[in-house]
Amino acid sequence: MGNQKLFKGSLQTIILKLLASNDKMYGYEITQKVKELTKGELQITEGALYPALHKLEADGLLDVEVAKVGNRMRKYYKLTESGTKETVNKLEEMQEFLKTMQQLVNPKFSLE
Amino acid sequence: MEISKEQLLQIDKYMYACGIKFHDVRIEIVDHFANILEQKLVDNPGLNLEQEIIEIHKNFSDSGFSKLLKEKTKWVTKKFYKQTLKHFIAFFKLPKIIFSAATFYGLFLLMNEFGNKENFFNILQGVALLLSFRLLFNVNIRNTKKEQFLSINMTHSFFNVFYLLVMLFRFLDSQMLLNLLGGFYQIFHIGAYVLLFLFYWSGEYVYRQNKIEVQKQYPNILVS
Repeated sequence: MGNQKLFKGSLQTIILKLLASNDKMYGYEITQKVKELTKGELQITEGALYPALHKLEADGLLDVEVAKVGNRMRKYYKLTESGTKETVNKLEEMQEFLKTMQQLVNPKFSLE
Repeated sequence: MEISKEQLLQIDKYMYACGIKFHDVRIEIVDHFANILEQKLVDNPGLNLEQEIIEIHKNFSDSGFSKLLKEKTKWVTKKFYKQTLKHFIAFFKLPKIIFSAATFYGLFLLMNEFGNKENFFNILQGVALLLSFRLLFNVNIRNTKKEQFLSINMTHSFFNVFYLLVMLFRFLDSQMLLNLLGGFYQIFHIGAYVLLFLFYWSGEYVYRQNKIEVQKQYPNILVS
């Protein structure tokens, strides 16, 4: 497993990106998807995921839908219109950040 | 392997005992625990559910549910005030302003019909107290058996401001204020009463709007 601290500041971007690629998702599904995509390299803890989801919801970037699945209720999250715009901004920010880091860590080889 | 209703109830009771009493927070965590348990039951159908719930709770975060509850309350509060302000502004449209002015004028005319003005203000005080009792009944007695929601609970707490204002309205009877305002005392008194009534009315409106929003999200649940 990689250094989890390095991923910490990117949690919101990760959530937004996942929701942009999938119509709607629920908390557990997000944790599993991240695990699957990073081949177990990154594991989001529930204690960090849910507060982040609630913050994005309060900021109006996520919408909530509650549906009955089997014998229980499930809370789904999906992007709002402003959430979709914010995802583009956050991903651009992330690209810029990676580029800068690349230049710092390995000045001879950059992403460009 | 799907978790049974009884097992779900067991998780739900555990969450409640851990301090997650609001329905909107609980269903999400119950579902999360159920998903993990279902996965574990595939590998080991005979596992001890109670023990496993405690184990999942331990792995949830270093601070258990406290960080989640703190953060959730913080963000719901932020959203609540934003929505409440939106509804509050929507409430004070032109018809309400005209109504307020008409009520003020009507009360002023009515007051002049009273030989003893003190009786008139005692009646206003009585009506304000009745409204307080109505709120007290609505918030604390009638809805105790329904599921509680964090955002609705905040609206209920917000009504406490009304009780405070009713008490302040009582303060308007003081001799000190009478001496200070002189001839304007009665007009000031009626104005304060109209504002108090509008506050009550707008509070009910905001509560109903917030309730509609929660009901939209949770259509199968009785919202208090």
